[in-house]
Amino acid sequence: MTIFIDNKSGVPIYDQIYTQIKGQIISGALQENDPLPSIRNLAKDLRISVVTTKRAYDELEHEGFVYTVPAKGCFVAPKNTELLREEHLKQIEAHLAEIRQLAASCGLSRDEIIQMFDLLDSE
Amino acid sequence: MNAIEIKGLKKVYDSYSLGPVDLTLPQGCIMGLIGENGAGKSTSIKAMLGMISSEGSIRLLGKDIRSEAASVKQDIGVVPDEIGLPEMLNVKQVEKIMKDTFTNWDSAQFADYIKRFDLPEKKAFKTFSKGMKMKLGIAIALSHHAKLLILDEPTSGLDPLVRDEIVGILNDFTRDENHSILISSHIVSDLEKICDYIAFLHKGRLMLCEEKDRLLEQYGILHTTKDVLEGLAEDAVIGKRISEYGAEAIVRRDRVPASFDTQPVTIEELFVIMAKEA
Amino acid sequence: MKGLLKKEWLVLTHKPMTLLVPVLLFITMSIAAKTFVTLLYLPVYAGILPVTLLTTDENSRWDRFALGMPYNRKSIVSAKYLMSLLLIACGCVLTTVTILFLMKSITPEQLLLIAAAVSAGSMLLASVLLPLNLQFGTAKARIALGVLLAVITCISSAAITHSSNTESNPGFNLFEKIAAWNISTPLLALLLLAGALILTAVSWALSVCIYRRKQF
Repeated sequence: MTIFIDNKSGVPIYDQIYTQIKGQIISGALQENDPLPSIRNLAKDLRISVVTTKRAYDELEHEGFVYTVPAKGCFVAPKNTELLREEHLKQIEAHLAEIRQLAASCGLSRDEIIQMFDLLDSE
Repeated sequence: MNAIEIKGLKKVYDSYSLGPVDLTLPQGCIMGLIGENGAGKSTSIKAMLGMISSEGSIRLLGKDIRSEAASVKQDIGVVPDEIGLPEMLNVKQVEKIMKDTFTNWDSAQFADYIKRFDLPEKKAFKTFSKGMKMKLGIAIALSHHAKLLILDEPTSGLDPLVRDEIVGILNDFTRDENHSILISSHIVSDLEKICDYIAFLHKGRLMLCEEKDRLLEQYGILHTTKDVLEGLAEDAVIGKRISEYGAEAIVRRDRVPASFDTQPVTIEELFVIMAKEA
Repeated sequence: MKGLLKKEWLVLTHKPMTLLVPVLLFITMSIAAKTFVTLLYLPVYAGILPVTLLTTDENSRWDRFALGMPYNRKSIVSAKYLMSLLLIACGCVLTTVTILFLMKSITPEQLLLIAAAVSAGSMLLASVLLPLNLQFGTAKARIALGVLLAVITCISSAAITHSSNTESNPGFNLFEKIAAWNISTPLLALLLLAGALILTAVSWALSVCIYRRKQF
């Protein structure tokens, strides 16, 4: 599992960890029931606070991406298709919002956008 | 159980007084005690260990330091700012003393650290450099299965390589969830990354004691103009620097409109600003 | 306390020659000059040595460091006193053996008395010096040391001069005077020793009190 922490980005570290682990779960790099490093060991390996890693894991568990077995640790939750769909829908929404903004800045109409999409589709 | 539980710690000297200070360190955590020279860091630690008399309740590893001092210290590794070993003794002789001092002395572990730190076994302590003395102090503190480490300025006077090594060792110490560390320093950068909790001491007062992450989330640096700064809520800005070219302020993120772009602040910057404004 | 004693021992003996040369000097000088005066330096030396232990502690800033370890203040003081008694015992043995060598005609009772007196003297010295040094620090307490040494030198010289009938000193013999009190010599020895031990105990209690109040 690869995790990079960017101290200068302004994004809270727990958020960076959360996002990266989530991404790896969704992409399949982390498989169902794979064990995650313990909260403590992850913190020590990344040289950050235990509070931080715990928060990232708590967030992941809250969102349903991981589950905890008492005294054993954290594991990747089985792929919840609903969850994944949710996740993808969220991403699509975000992209759509970006498209809308860009279209507005160069004066593209709704129809022109749909035209572009159809063109892509037919390729 | 909390590794350290201090309530109402107070010490009065002629020239200055410390406290009252309330400090709690949950087990398994690292707390950085930050403050300028003379802020009271050493005084707090000395009081914690019974080196000086003080008022208030002090419990280390669940035991009252005043009534059970010697037995608590079996489980505490102390690295004071000066390693007061008799100058004429060498590492081998020091080990003999420590073996008879600590019931859980681990000779193998000690030998390991000595080797790792590259310390000469037969040379007198007085020939050691400051870094070497500190390393020996740390080796001793880590070789009797201590559950709590208390370090007073362990990295001052040491070069960056050694400091990094020591930070790494302290980090590893807390891989065990029963191990805790209290470390005081005015070299904040050493502590920033690995600490779970941060306490700010300034002129004998505890300015704050919080989870480091919360602190870093709560505050940010804003680069803007003087006018914009003046337009912000009063309690939003906790410190500022205004120049010809603009203004820079440390602000409370929740008191500043969300559209404002705040940069992350370092613990050191936070401390300096808070101390100045105090 | 074992660790503390070990530390005191290691500090004391780290350069054995420094410890032994004065001892050998006193003994050989006494034998060579056939006098007891130089021999008395031995118990005095034994009584003063604990102060060097305190000086080492001060210079190394040991006290604060020690308080970070599982020692309580009482044991730190007790270790010094135990070490001091050990040194005094050694001094006593060496002195009495040398006297035996010098004065073959001495009776066992007289020897016992001398042993007791010598030990008592050392203990008196140590009992006074240890609390003084703990309270005021070794630099300031050095003055007291000087005064004490002067006093002891005078008293012991006088005692020696008056302990045998020689041509230079007819008429006043310490042993005879003491004999006149009609206390048996062994009893006297015992009393001296007991008194010295009580004094040491009082000194120890005082030192513990002083050390307990010290701030590091």
